[in-house]
Amino acid sequence: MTLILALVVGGLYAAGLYMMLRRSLIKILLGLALLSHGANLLIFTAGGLTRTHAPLLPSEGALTLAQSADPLPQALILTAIVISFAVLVFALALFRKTYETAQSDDVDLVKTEDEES
Amino acid sequence: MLYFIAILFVTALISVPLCRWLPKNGGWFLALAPAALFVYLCDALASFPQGVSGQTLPWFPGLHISLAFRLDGLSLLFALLISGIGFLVALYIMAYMSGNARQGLFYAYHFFFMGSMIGVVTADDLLLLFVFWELTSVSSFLLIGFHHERAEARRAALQSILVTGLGGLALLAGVLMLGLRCGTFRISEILLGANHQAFTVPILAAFLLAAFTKSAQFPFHFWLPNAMEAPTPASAYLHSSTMVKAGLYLLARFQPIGADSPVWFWSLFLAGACTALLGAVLALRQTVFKRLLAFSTVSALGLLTLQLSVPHPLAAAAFAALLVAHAFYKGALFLVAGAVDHAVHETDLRRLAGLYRLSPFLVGAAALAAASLAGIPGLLNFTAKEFLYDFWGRAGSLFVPATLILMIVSALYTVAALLILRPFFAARAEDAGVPLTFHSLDARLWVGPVVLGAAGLLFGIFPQRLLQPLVSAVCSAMLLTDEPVHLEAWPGWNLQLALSLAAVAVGVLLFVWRAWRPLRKARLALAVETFGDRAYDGALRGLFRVAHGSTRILQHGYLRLYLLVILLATVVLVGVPLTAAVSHLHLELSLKSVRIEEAFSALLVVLGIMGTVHSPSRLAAIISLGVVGYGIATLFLLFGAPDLSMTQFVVETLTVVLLVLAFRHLPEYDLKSRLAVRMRDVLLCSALGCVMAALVILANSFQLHPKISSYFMQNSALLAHGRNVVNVIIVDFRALDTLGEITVLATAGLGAWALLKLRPRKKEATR
Repeated sequence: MTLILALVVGGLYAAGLYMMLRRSLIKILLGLALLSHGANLLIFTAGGLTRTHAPLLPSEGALTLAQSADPLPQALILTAIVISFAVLVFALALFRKTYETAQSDDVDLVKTEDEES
Repeated sequence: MLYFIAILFVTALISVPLCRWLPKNGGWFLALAPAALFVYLCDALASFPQGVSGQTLPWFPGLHISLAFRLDGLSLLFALLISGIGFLVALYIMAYMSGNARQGLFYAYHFFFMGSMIGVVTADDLLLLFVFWELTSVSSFLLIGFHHERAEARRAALQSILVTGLGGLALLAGVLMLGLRCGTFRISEILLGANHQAFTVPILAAFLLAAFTKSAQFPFHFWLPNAMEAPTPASAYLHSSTMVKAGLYLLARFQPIGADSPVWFWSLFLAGACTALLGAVLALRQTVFKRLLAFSTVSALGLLTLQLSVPHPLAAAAFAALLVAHAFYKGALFLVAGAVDHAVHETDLRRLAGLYRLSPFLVGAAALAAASLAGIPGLLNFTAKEFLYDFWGRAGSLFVPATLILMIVSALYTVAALLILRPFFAARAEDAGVPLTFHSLDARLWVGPVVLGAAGLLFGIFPQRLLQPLVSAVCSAMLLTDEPVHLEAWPGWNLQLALSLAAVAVGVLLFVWRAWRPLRKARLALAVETFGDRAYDGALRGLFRVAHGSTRILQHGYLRLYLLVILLATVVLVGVPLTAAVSHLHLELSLKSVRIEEAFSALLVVLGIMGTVHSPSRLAAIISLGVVGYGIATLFLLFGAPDLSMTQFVVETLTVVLLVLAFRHLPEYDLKSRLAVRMRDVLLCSALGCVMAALVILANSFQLHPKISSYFMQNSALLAHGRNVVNVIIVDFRALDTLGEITVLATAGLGAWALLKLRPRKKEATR
């Protein structure tokens, strides 16, 4: 299963970056979303897949690491999901504003040079 | 030494408030610092052979860099000149800058420079030497550009710091190479170890570049005359005895280990000879007092460099004598030039006349200094030149070229001396323009020149008494021997004397015939004066052009091209070693262990990806993106991460809703790139996807460190009283992270709100 998920991660990265290389603002945004999915799944898979229990301690007695999934990557990914959502929302607002101002969603047309030579 | 340097720096700090408090007489107090240092150094000289003192304080103990200072004969000579002339200049500034609101600032730069210079000549640690070396560049930049309201001053200051800064960088490289090669950064240890293989050609080249730029050797001579934009006290100080001598100090210091290489001899001999001749010839073309002195300084520096090309007791003695002589007469002449400028407000030698009316003391000082410059017997420069003739007389095949150079330079110096003296004694100017008005001359303006001129005379008459201890000290430091050197004021009738007198006679003849047409034509034909300057301008322009060009190529402003470069670099730099590592792994490719629901979720993700990339409509693409998110959420659920799964479901739903809402306002979906471009991107991204997949597989195949998660598993209930370990980690063990995350979320929300809701005011909107 690790192999399959590794390929899925590769696919997410490839697709995300491909979308980010487009000239359309919407596609860049979607690429960003795919890329963050890829990163989350990368951490999840690299942390080790296990089909056993979730890291929830029973009300009595202990649970060792061998008996459950690793909680640390999960905590990291949880943070990452929320942050990438925040980034996505901000990027969305930014891109919408850009489109309103520039009347174009083509980044090549939006591009301005700071220094006019 | 550290204390004295600290005192000088503190003096620099207090000079601004002190001069504001005592605008007229503050300089007296400030001059105490160099005076005290001078007295201390004289005392050290008196007890010399025992006087080699060192002091070491740890600075960066971990890097073996220490504040190590050492005062040996060579350091002593330079430090005496720096502090002694520094004292006289400090008095001189008081009168020269009186009434100037920025007097205190000038004093601050002066003492800052003095402290740095003392640091250069006493540092016993290579890196410390470099630090002080750079400080002298910085402080001289401030001094040269003191009149920063003038464009020429700004240009000259920039030029000097760029040229000497280039040398500084070379010095850093050389110092690091030398220190690493010798295993120690302590200069005295390197010299005493006398590892004659220590100076490889790259190290030597770096040191020579540093010394030549600092000491204005050909082809870097051009910055020195331009630096005459500095106020005259700074010129007198920087160019008679200190800044430009730092390069000579460096050469003299490392001569014991550097001079074994033939590169050392040839580069010093040739650069010295070129500089000496070029400076002397160009000096005669000058009409401005200070510029004439500047070019003759360049020439004298050339002679001194020439003198360092061969390690020999006589050469070292001649070097020391010439150094002292030059500091005396050139310091005096610069101060005289400043006094004349201050009193008459005219700097062109052709328009000056009748200066004998200014002050008999000033005239006397000028006469003594000029006589020393010309090499008249009885003055120190004569004694020094005797040494030079004597030394080169024993140098075999080099006798003829070296003696010729010396004679030509001496003759030209005589002309220069007469050119300088003429306005003092002639009643009428050569080129009478506006009639001169004579202002009264403050005594503090002639004290310095008189002391220096008289010193030249006294040292010249009593060399055994006054010069001998210095010269022996220098010889012992440079040659690491105690061979005594004998000095004579009057060597008797011999070849050297004849050569000296012949040079003076030729000089007098040249001066008398200076109006003779062929001679004037020859003088004017020399267009080499501005050559260095033009080369500098060209180099600077070229540098700017390269910078513009490279910026235009590298910083093109296309996001996706930046991304492409990053991708390509990642694929090559990460992908190649990764492929090698993965190919060694024994991969278990059996799909038996895959469950049907897992495979289905993975398929869902893959389909979602394809939909997102391929879909011709934006709505379909957004929904496909949602499918990807839901697929991943399912995978989280299947592999023991219910918290992640729930969060992912919620966030994904929100994302899709937001995107759909927002995309109502966005344009249609279309293909903007050409097919070839898309194919290129597909190829590159697929390659990167493979790299990432390989990375995941590799990460799963081994474990570098024991997992720290067991700690959380054991202590979650015990310490944090929570049973959902993931939650406990987020809100307790890594609570600070979560705080950061919340902050990011809030900031992003605020930003988005501001972008969408805040409108520019009507006025700006219509613009």
